[in-house]
Amino acid sequence: MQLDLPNVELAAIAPEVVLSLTALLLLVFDALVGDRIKNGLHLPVLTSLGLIVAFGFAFTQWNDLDQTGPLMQLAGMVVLDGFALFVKLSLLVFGFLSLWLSREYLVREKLEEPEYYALTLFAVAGMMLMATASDLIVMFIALETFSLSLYVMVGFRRRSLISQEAAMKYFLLGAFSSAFFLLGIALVYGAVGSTNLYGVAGSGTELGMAQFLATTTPQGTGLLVLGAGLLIIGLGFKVAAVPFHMWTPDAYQGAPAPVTGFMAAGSKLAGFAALLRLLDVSLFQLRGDWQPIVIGIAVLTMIVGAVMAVVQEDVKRILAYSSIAHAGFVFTGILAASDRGVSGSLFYLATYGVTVLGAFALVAMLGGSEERAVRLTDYKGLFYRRPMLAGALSLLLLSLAGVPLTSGFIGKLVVFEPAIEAGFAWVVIVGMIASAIAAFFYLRIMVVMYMQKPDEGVAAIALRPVAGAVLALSVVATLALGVMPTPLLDLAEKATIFFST
Amino acid sequence: MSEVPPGFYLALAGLMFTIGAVGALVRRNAIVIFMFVELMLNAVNLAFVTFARMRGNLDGQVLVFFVLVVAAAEVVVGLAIIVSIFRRRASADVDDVNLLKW
Amino acid sequence: MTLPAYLPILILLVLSTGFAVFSLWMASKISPRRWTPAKLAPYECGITPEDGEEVGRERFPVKFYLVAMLFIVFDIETAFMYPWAVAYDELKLFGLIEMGVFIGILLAAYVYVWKRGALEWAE
Repeated sequence: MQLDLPNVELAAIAPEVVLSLTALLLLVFDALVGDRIKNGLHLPVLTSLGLIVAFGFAFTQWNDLDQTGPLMQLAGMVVLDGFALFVKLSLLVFGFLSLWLSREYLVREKLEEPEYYALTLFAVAGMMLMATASDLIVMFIALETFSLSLYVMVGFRRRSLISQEAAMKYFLLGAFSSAFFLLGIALVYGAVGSTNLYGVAGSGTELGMAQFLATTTPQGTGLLVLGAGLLIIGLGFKVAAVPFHMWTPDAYQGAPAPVTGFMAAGSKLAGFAALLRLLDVSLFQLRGDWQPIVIGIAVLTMIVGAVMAVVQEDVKRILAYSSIAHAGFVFTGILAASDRGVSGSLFYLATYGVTVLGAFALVAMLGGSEERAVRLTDYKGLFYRRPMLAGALSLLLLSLAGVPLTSGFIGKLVVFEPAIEAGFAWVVIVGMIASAIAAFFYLRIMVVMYMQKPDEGVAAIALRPVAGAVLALSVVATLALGVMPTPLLDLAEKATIFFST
Repeated sequence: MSEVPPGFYLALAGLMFTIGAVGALVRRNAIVIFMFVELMLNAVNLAFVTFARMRGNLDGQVLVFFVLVVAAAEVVVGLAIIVSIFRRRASADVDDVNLLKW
Repeated sequence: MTLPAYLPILILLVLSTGFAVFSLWMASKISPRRWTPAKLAPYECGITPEDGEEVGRERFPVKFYLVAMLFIVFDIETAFMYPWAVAYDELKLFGLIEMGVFIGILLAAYVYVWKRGALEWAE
């Protein structure tokens, strides 16, 4: 028997490999000599180094794209196209920002362990694989890699019962949803005979989903549609879409604030990247079947997220429901099933990620030791105590609300427009109503900050330099992308270069 | 002896999956919920192997390996989280874990 | 794709949910519950459990769980070595290198576990 040995083009996943190796090195290195290093600065430095090298590789791939065009590599397991690389680069930036925010938080809470950094690296690597995977099994492994890392990171405040409880709920519901995702893969495999999203060129017997759809009759797609539905459930869970959002408020509230920011930015981008490739590319021909499902999810997600946020008293929970609502807005971009919808969604996710990372950085700072001050009443009169921080938070909240001159406004514009063009104007109207409701609770936080006097004798807020710098970056980016969004929009444009057979 | 038709295996997989899903929703003990989730994963494994046989290619069987490993990793992370709660409250009942409410 | 095409799926969904609910309900109704002291006692490999109030709630040292977890993880990885061993003749050097990478990663995990003290039984 002669086996066809696949080409192992490791260069295609060089960024992910670098991140994983850095994580392994970090763990082994710290286990061997960690005791002898006192201040532990080697951990974030090594992690940053890994992220920077990975960014270098991904950036080279992004530049090479103009010459090589989109490629399918590693025996059809991954594709390198503009879409994948845009997501990868954004995720690396998120990882880098969240790393330095976490560092200060971990030092303050005396939780600094090498595992945290290794888990961050594994999570980023997993999320990047989600975007680049062209086979459902790679997607599944990527999904689990970043989910398992996040489960542990959510429970990282070991002394806090809330954190542990959040980790358990997130884990149980996450495992439940990945079983559905897996059943979806099984049904797709049953229908198509392969788990590839495209189909491996030259293998003859192996059709992919896209090729299968091109050749089959409409009657033969039943199993595939059912499988796709289950895949949407599995991914909908990760991006916190209603009705699969039950874990979100609990996990967001219990997790350490920088982890919450990372989850909101990274796991949304990764989950939506997979959804975008799956629905808008592989299953494009089946859009008549999945669009009704996505409409339902989008409408429910926008409304439930916005309405539920109004009644919350805990700032982390408010932001959790707001992140649910934001997931709904991105779904309108997916719904359009057009290039502009894809680039709009990517722009939205990238800018939302930067903004939400900054917002949770502030929550972490204002929360103080053991995150005691995270209720709305703790924000009373923040303006009189720390005007700069209050100003920064206001700006980030205005962007989340979608006020003009902030990146959030442009984001909403570029996901709503394609949806209207595709004839889903009423969904967009629902989205606008949801934004209006959402504006209420963002304003509510601001009213508390500006209109009420601070209580006597509240603890002073410590602003640490590195976290302050990251925060400033996030605020500046939010503002700059609101005023001149064109450069990033152009990049997102290039990200609509998909691999196709 | 005649061969068992593949449809039977698929029906069995469907039943196992649904028992797992319903069980995970009605049970209250975290470890038991998790056992039901494992049942769901194994049901999917059965479906993979059956489809592999129907389709006449090996992909489905290879997938099972990855699912097994992921399931094992999930068990370990899950157990670690549940045990660390256990150590503090002597209960694995999810209804006892109720600090977080909507 | 028309709506009637979903019908068999719907029927199967109803059937299997019904079956699952029915089985759980039936089991709770008809299973005899004759508890005897022997049945209620925690199972400890044939050894009569120690008496005491907290028998059912007794906590095992966390070490047991830790060993169990490490076992599961390292045990399942051997599953990948069987197909490799069977196809060793065809895979030749390629397979050897790939397996070397795989075992190298496992080794890193092993060093980590060892150095972090997870394998020490006594404190």
